[in-house]
Amino acid sequence: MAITVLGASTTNFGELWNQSLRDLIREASLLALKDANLSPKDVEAVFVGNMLSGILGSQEQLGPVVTEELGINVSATRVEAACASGGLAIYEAVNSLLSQRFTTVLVVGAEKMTDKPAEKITSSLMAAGSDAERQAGATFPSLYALLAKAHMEKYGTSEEEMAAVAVKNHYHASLNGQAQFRFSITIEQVLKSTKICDPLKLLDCSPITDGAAAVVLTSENSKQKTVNRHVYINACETATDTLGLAQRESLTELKATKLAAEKAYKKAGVTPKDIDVAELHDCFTIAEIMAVEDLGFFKKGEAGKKFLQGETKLGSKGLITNTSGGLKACGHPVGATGIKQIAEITKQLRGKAEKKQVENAKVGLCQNVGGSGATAVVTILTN
Amino acid sequence: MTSPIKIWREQKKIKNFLGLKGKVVSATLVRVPPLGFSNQAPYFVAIVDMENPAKGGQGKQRLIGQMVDVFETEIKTGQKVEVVYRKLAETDKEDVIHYGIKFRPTSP
Repeated sequence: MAITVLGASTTNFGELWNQSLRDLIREASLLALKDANLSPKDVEAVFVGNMLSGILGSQEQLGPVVTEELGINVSATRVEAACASGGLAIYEAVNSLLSQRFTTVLVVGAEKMTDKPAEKITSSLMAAGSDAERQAGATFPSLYALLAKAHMEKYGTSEEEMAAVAVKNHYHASLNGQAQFRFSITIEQVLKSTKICDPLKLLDCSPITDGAAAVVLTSENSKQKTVNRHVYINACETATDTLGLAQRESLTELKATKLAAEKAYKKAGVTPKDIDVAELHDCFTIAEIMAVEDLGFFKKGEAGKKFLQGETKLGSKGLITNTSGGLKACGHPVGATGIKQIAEITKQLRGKAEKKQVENAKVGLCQNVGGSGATAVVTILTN
Repeated sequence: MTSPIKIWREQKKIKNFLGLKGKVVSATLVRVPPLGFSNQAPYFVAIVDMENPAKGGQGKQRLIGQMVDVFETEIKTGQKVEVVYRKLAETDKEDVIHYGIKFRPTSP
């Protein structure tokens, strides 16, 4: 059964002080429906990805927030998997289409993070970690710093190599009118930025962001009255790992990413070499280095050098990663990220990514991670 | 606030870990702490390979925890440590004080 991305949208990402969570959800949903040339009454079910609306805003039961804004009364399910909430919402939506329960569904992801001070956000995000991690005074930057340290010691990955990931993603964001940070940075700026958790510095870290993204998916050919080039979801797979970092077999890879990717490549009938463009979960620069290795794009331990040589940057040969600017520079409204990735790849495969278009992009991949790697969702799309 | 009942449940298990020895696998210096830890920052958080599993545990065991009594600016991989009992995060005036396990370096 072919699943088509009929419509896709992203709100601006950034510090959006005049927009509430509800405003962001409405804007992204209506834009995606408009892009699909459908109206709210065509939506048979809603899936919404979000992590922090309860902790930060006392608002749970987000499903009816979406249907109320659209003026419909259909089934609405909220999906939570920390920073993979968006990707897992896509996964559940795809399952609902494959089961033939529904034929056309809306998936929206949103997060409102800048109403609260950074210390509160840092603590709230730790809800994605384990009890032991919270008691250790660990933060997400510190968990990825532990992974970075292990990767540096095992493979000789350097701080310059990690910085190169941030430099590339900022360059891409400078071409994205919706990104939070639309400017370029240099390796020197990254290396000189404030230390957060050694070896990670401020410019190795994704920011605190408000934003939403939405897609309309269908399994019904007759619904496809859109003028857009068709983009298909060929595989959407997920895997899990231990919640806490200490219980993992390895500190230099994310097993959940590897397992989800293995299943996704098999289902889509493609190999890592076939991927032209990918949106990867670069919550920290080390995360994109591990991602391109775990997804099979580069050999384990070699990715850092490739980034430093300028590979995966727009204009270079072969795979291009994070044309949106990634989590690092486009921004990371956690529940929206996994859906923004699908929206970005959809634009690329339609040939509508404008200044950041990857030429002749035919096969795209999205990798969305929850926590320090306890959930991973890998989606493969084609045109 | 951490619920007193949750603390009571944890305390029964903590004694199994006290005095255990291990080696640091990875460590980071946390300069930007979460709520309740600002009076301790900057501090090291480490993942430690334990020599022996805690009482009742089996096989290889790794723990994550905060380091205390560190006077160096870096924790090297392989640093030997032992598990100690310490106060965790700052709590409100009338909350139950939350104790748990941390790591202390032992001679190399």
